[in-house]
Amino acid sequence: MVNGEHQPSRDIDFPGRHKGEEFQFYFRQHWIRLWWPARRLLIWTIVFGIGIFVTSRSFEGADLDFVRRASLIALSVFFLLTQLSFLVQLYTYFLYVIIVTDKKIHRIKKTMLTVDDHQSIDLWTLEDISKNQHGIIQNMLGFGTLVLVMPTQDALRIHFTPFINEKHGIIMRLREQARQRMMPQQMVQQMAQQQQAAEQPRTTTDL
Amino acid sequence: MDLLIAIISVSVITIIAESVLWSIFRRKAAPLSFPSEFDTSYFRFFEITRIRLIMFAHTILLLTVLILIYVFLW
Repeated sequence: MVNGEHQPSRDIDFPGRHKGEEFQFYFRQHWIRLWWPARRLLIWTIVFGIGIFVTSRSFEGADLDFVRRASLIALSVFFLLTQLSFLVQLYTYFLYVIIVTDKKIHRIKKTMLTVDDHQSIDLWTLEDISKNQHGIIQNMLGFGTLVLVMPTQDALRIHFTPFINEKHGIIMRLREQARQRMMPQQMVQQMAQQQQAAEQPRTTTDL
Repeated sequence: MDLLIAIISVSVITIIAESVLWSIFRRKAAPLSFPSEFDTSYFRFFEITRIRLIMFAHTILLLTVLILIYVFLW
């Protein structure tokens, strides 16, 4: 390094990595994704608190012991389930990762039990890269939807992308670099295709 | 005696549930843990070791709440 700054190695392995791919960065969705599960957890915790309060006031006395204990057990099962459900959503949040390399964008999406998706897109084939930020909250918190348009498939939308302006710029730059790298190879392929196309009519007329 | 059985049961269920969820998560998240200098997420704080600490804290919180409720209201 010329400036003596520590440069971390980009030779990092990850699922679905192709040979020679250099890791650029990765990210998870914006923390706002957890807002709804957290709000739900808060509401259920308040309901649980009210339930405990009502149980403690309503079922006093030795003759109501059984009812009080049964209510406590039911409420604790409810409390456990709401907490564990939030924990599953929190874990699932960490299992959704976007990895950007010098050649591809990988979207890895897993859930705790049922989903294990991996989608890769070649950067140089991307027709268009756009970003959508709708509403005050998205603009204030700097997140939005990154739309990656491919010529042959449906567009890939990456929702809740944090620091979307910077990421949009970096991905555009990486696409240009990838295209420049691919250009000679692409030209060779184009030439071969042109050659084939030129030979094709001749052979058919010969027959 | 009933109180003790209830506390032990709820504690065992909580610990087993938390451990199972953590083991599933760890198995799935292990291939996705990368150096934090490449992380461009909003919070760079959450690495697997730190999430494990959160899991421990969550388990202790759940046990404390449930045990206190059982002790005072049983």
